[in-house]
Amino acid sequence: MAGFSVAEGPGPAPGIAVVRASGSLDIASLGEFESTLGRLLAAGRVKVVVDLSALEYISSSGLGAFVKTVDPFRARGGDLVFVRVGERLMRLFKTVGFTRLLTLARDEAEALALLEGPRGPVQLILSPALRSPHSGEAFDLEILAADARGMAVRGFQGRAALEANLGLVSPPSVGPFVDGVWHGKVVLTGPGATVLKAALEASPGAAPAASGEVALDVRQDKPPAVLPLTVACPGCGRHLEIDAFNVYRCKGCGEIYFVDKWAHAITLKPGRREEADFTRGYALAFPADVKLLGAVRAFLVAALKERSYAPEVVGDLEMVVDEAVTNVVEHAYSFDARRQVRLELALDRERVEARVKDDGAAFDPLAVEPVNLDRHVEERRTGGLGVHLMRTLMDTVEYRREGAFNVLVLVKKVR
Amino acid sequence: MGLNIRIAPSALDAAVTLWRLEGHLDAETVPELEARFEGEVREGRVRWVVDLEALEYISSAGLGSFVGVLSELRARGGDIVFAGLGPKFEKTFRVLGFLRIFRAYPAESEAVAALGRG
Repeated sequence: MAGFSVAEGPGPAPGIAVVRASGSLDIASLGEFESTLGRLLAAGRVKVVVDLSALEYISSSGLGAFVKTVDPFRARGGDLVFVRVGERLMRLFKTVGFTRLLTLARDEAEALALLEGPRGPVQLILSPALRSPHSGEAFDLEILAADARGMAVRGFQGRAALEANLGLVSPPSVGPFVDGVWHGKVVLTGPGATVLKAALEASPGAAPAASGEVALDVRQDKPPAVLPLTVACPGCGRHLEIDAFNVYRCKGCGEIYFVDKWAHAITLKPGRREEADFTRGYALAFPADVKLLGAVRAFLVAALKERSYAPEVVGDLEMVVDEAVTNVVEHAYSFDARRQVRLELALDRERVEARVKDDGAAFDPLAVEPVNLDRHVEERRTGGLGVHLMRTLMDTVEYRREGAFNVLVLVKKVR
Repeated sequence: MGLNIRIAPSALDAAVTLWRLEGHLDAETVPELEARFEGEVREGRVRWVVDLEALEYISSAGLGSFVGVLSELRARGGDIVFAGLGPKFEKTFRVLGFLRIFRAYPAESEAVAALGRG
């Protein structure tokens, strides 16, 4: 077995030290490694790249102490970043869980990015799997949180809000970011050339607000499919948030599920299968533009038809949601298409509940005089019919002010 | 889809304007329709049959536009009669009380004849 040696070398940037370790490390030779690091620490050089390309092995006796060498560096705001870890050593690291405990990088450049922290404002780089997705069909999207050099900001945490300048994007918010990357499925429903934007919702630490966008050409040659976003756990009733149609662990009861969207079923591990008697929820955020009314209605109708509600229920809800959204666009936002409307649906066997939310000035759409149609005709009034329609076609219609939001709650019983 | 508006004098009575609406009539497309209303009224053509047979969807904004123009037409001796109402919109018309102020017939010919009777 080779002996061990460690040497300091010139760093890739001022303030960054480089150490190269070669040979095999055991409890005896670890001392040499530690004293080299100790000299750096004493000199205040706490940002160190450790090149392990020539390190063949760490004996089990040396492992425990090895992983602790990083602690004093991290305690002083620096780190040891290990680069060029060989295949065999990497397997060892994975087996003992070091990949979670140590900061690893491919090369000096990546190590530098990690040690120096993000340079410049964080930007979001969107990479869709398709440049021309079909309207209503989920496609893969990757969002990379990168600094000005295009390097992933690995420690980045937070969520991104998604928005489309035309049409609807679902889900409206994605996360979490792992190692500076989020990937999952999104759906766009709407017309042709669309700009999909992502903006950071919140980020701990000092990363300033950032956003990114990508231009897409949305094809409308297929009818829209529906993306369910939340499902209630059959075990404990808690909502599971779905972003990839696969395996979920309920945070309430810990049960593991496979969600099979096409069979409308949730499978409980292992091997049990439950019928889809659960609440489905949908949330949609879209620009306040009357041109999108058709797309919103299409989305709503698709969601309701998927649950096999009677045509009369579908028709009534279509009209009422149209009315509620139109009111928001006209009265809460004065036709400003830069504002956002949010539609939330909860569907189950007993009832359908739709909520239309806006963050405009407080406005109660229900606080209008009851309609007298003859007077309407005489006075040539065109508005106000909608409220009467909503009250007649729904079982309950309620307005609430929740913080900065106007919320219209519409409920129709279906059984 | 949008709204497709076809206007022509009725073959049964040249003084009656036959409107055939196709597509959807909602807050997006109502302004187009109201612009055409204005055109007909200016030309003094105030007796209308509106055929809804080919209309896929109508919202309360769409219905409101007919209410808005009705008194104008009646003041000038005209009216609106609907044709091709169908089960799709019949419930909505009833719920809103439209059948108390508008007449509606299944066939265009019946609607034109009803207008003629005044």
